[in-house]
Amino acid sequence: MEKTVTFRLIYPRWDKLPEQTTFNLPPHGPAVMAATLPDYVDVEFIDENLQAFSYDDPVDFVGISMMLTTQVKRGWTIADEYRRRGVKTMFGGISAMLHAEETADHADSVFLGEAEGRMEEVFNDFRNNNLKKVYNYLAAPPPIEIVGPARRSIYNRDLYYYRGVQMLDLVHASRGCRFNCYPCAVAYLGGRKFRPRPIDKAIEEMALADNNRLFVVDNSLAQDTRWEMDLFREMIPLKKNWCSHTIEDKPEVLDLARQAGAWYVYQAVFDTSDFIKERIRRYHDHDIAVEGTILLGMDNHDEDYIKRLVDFLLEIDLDLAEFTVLTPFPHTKAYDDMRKQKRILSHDWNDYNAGKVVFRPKLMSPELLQELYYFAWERFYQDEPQQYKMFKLLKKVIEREMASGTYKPRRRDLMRRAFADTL
Amino acid sequence: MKYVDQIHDYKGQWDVPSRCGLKIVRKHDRDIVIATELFEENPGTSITNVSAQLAADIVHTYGLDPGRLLFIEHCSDRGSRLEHFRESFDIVHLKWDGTRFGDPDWESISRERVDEMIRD
Ligand code: SF4
Repeated sequence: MEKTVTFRLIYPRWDKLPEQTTFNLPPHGPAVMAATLPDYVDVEFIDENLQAFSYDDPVDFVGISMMLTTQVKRGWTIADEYRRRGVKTMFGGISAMLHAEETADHADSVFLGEAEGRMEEVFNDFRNNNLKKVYNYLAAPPPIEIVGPARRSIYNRDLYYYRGVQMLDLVHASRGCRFNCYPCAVAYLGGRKFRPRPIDKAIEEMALADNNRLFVVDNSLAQDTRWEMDLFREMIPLKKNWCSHTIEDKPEVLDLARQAGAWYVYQAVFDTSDFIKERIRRYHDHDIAVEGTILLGMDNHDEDYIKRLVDFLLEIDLDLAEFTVLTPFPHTKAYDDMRKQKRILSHDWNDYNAGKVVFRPKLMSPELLQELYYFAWERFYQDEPQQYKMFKLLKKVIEREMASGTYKPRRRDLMRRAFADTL
Repeated sequence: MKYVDQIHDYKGQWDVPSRCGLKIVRKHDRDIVIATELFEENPGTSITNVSAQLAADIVHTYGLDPGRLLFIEHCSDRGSRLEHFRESFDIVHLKWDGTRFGDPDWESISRERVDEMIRD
């Protein structure tokens, strides 16, 4: 019988933005990676935002999965300590790729790319004490057909409840993105090619998630109308409600999306145009709520512009708004431009939380942009606080679930618990 | 070779296949190289992210003299409402240590100045 490898997969903690209500969703990347592990690997997952761990626990091999730039320094610290104790560490995930060179200094191995079909090799090398410093599969994504369902059994499920309400499960129906937006590194990470999963695979994944509420985390579903509509059509019988990034706003797509359970979508709002106004109206007409994502500090933003933008958001009746400051993450055009123009003020990756100004804006001081960021949060939620707006969204989904007979009541045993209590 | 105007394939970070537009204009005192970012058509690393390596690759591929190189990065106008996607040109000042380029430093210049430079 093959000897078991005890593999601890850690998702490092980071400081949440105080302006936002903190919800901890079960992280998707580690579960996708865990699904690709060979049978002889015994995986234990630690979400450090919710779980403590001891370096003294016996483990053979440590994996550190990082999604955000604000996780990297914590990830490096964890790896440094394990390596000091003689335990081998491997990094993977989005921010391990964005910060690969620096991460390599703290790792026995860095995995670049997508894990499917590659972990046999990595774990074989580990067992033969022959781990490579870098596994570079950035340019060789696996065939999308072999991507299987995420391994959600690694989660400690009870941790992902807020006052008895189960948090959304994350699923993905495609990879890559054919767009190339200014602040985004997805082109570098997922490749510039949109790679939809076969619809039956995506549907299987959604059906398997033991949750009536999903977050379809695809970069953008609005990339191929026919595939998008086919996907929505197949989702209808699942009777799940979901949120996602942008979907196309053609009436026939929105009709299907609504039938498929579209609950709310994230929509970037970058100006006060009729185009945006109309788009939001179309979503609302189809009973799909909208959470605006608003990036502050673009080169055409001054104080007046930002104040007008916030008023506009209230006027168009956004259901929720999430404000962030432009952050020049590596491998984005924003980073390239700021670097060329010598406008980056900090390379402390802990500051790259999208709530802290780390660059010199064009039309105002960094301090003023920081103030306007706080102003935007306050002003938008002045009359109707964030918690109340969220409650309205929750009410909407409960009503739908009641109507379709899929409603699951809150877990009474977890009713008193918010996330931080678990640590 | 007096003039090159074509697509250039290069290895981006972590050897990811990447491509840019490339114009080389040989003048009596220097070789002007204009690399154009292709955005969606570039499957890999941006030209800015690997400017020093890209310059070295072009010098090597086209047999240019590193001492005569004037390297310019070009991003074309993308017809976006965001001003970040307007056309831009930057001279990339690079240090040559005898084997490789390093220390890129960007100087924004106008299209008119580029036109002037490449005019016969
Ligand atoms: S912001 Fe969204 S749509 Fe734009 S490139 Fe990134 S993933 Fe694609």
